[in-house]
Amino acid sequence: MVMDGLDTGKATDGPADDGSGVAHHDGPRAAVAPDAPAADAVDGVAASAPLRVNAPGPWHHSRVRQPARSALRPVAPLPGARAAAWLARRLPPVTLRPFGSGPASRWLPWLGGALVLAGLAATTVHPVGVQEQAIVATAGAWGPTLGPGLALSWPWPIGAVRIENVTGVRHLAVPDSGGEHLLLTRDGALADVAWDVRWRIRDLQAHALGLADPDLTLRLAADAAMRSVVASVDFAAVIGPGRATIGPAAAHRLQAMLDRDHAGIVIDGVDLRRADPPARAADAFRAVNTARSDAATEAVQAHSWARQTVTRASGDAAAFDKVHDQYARAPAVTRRQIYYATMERVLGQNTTVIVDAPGTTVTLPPPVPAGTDAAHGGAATNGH
Amino acid sequence: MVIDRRVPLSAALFAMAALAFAAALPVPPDRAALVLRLGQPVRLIDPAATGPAARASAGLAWHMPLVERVVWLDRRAQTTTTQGLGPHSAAIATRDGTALAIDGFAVWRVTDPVRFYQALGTPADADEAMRAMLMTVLRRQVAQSDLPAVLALVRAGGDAALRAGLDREIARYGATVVDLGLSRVTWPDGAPIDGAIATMTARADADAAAITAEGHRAASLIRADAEARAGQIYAASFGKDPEFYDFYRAMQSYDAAFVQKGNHATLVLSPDNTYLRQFRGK
Repeated sequence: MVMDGLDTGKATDGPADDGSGVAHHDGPRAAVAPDAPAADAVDGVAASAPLRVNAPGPWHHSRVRQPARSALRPVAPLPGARAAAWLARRLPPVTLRPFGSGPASRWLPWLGGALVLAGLAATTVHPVGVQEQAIVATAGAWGPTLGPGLALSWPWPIGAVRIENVTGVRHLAVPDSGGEHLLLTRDGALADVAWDVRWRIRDLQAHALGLADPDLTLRLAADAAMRSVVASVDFAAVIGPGRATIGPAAAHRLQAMLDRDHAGIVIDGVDLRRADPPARAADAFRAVNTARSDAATEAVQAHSWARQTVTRASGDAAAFDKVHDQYARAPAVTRRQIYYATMERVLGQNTTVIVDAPGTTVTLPPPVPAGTDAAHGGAATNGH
Repeated sequence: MVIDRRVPLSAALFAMAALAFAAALPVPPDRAALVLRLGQPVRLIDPAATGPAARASAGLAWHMPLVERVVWLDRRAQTTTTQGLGPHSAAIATRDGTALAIDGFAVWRVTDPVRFYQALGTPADADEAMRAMLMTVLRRQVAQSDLPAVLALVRAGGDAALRAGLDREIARYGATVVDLGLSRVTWPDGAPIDGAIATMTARADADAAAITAEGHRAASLIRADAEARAGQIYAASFGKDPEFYDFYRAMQSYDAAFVQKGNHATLVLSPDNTYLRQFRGK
C-alpha cells in the first residue's frame, strides 16, 4: 500500500482537520526548512499541486513543498516566482490538500463547513422573544416550557423546538366576513350580532397537547357561547340595555367550554362590535326610536306649557289680589277708575258712533279684510 | 488503483447512520404511532395513554424500516363541525313542525387508536364519518323536541343527552366526545327567515304606535294637571270676591278684545251707556 509510509501522527490533523489548523502549521515549517529545491516552488503552487499527488502520497507532498516556497525568496527573485510565493502564503492552506482540482476546490470545503455550521447553529440555538415561550423536543420527547432567552436543542433531525407567542393578545372576529350574523333571541326574534374575542395561550404545553385545530374550535365555541347567551335574553335586551352584560357572559361560557376541552387558552374578553336588528327590519326599529324621541319631546313641551300656565295663573291671581286689596279699601272709586281707564283705551282706539234716537239705522263701513288693512288710515301709522 | 481505506469505513458509517435514521421513530407526546408489519398492527406507541405523564413517556422508539410501516394518529382533541358544508346546511324540523337551521360541532378524542384506525382510519380521514354521525345525532335530538325545548338546548349550549348520543355512536370506534356545542341555530333561509323578520317588523311598528299614543297620553295628563292647578290658584284668589272679579275680568277682557294693535272696530253706543252718563249732564 502506498499509504503505509505515511506519518500516522500527521494523518490525524491532515485532511480531517479543517483549514485553520493547517494554516497554523505552515509558518513555522517554512522557517525551519530552508534548503529545499527551488524549482519546486517556481512551478507555482496551486496549479501544479494536483498533478503531483500520485507520486509521493498526500502528506509527503504537502510537507516538502511548504518550506521550499519561503526559502526561495532571497535566492531567485523571478517576478513570477515572487508573486507565486506571495500568493501561496496568502492562499488558505486547503489548497494543499491532495484531492480536488481547480480553484473551486479551495473554497468548497470552507463553504461546506460554513453551511454545516450555519445549519447546526440554526437548528441548535433558538432565540425566544419577550412574548414567547418554547418547548424543546428531543427525539420526540418534550422538555419543560422555557421562557424568553436562548433555547438550546439538539441539531436537526434529533431536536426540534416549538416557539409560540404566549403573552400577546390574539384577536378573533366573529363573523370573520362583514356579512350579517343573525342570532336567535329568547323571544324568537333575530339579532345581528358581531363581536371580537381576545385570547391568549395560558399554558403552552396544554395548548400544544390540547386541540388539533385551536383556531377552528375557538371560532365554533365562541359562536356557540354567544348563541347560548343571546338565546337566554329577549331581543329588546340584546339591542338595548342587555348589551353590556352579553359580552362578559359569553366570555365566561366560552372559557368554561375551552377548559372542558383542555385547550390551554385564556379568554381575556369578548367585545361586542354590534348588536342590531336585522338590516331588513332596521327601518321599523328606527321608527320605534323616532317614536320614542318624539314622545319624549312631546312630554318636554307639555311640561314647558304646564309651567307657563301655572306661572301665569299665579301671576294673574297675585295681580288680582293687589287690585282687590285696593278695591276693598275704596270700592266705588277704584271701580270707577278702572272702568274709565279701560273705556278710554277701548274707545280711544276704535271708531265710536253714538246713536241718539232709538230706531236709527246706522250704515257701517264694510269690514276690512285681514291683511289689506294697510288702506286704513289708522293701520298705516302702526308701523306695519 | 489505490483505494482510500476510509472509503469503505465511511460507507459503512453512512449506511449505519441511514439505517438508524430510517429505523428511528421519535414519538411526540401528542401523537400515537401505530406500527404495522406488512399491514398487520403489531404494536402501538402511545405516550398519551399514560395520561398526564405523556410528556415524559414520549421519546425515541424503533421500528424496522421497509417491513414495518408507521401510521400516525393525532391524540389531540379533534373538532368536527357540520358547518360550512354548503352555503347553508339543510334545515331540521322540530317535533312541532318548525324548521330550524342547526349546525353543531363536536370536540372528540381518540381513546383506542388501534380500534379507531381499523374502523375509520386516521382522525383526519374520519372527519367525514364523524360529521355524518354528528348530523344524525343532531337531527334525532331536534326531531324529538319541540321548539321551546330546542331553544332551551341552545341556551344550555348543547346538553348531556346530545353529548351522550354522539358518544354512544363513536365509542364503538374507540373515540369519546369531549364537548358538543351548537354553533348555528337560526331560521332557515327563505320563507322562515322572511317570516321572522316580518313578525319583528310588525312588532316594531306596533311598538312605535304604542309609544306615540303613550306619549300623547302623558302630554295630555301633564297639560290637564297644569290646568287644574291654574284653576285652583284662580279659584283661591278670585273666589274671595266674585262680584269684583266679574268686573275686573270684564275690564281685562275689553282690553284684550278692543285694545289690540291694528284692531279697529266701530262701536255703536247708546246714549244710555254708563260711560256716557256724565256726557248727558245728568
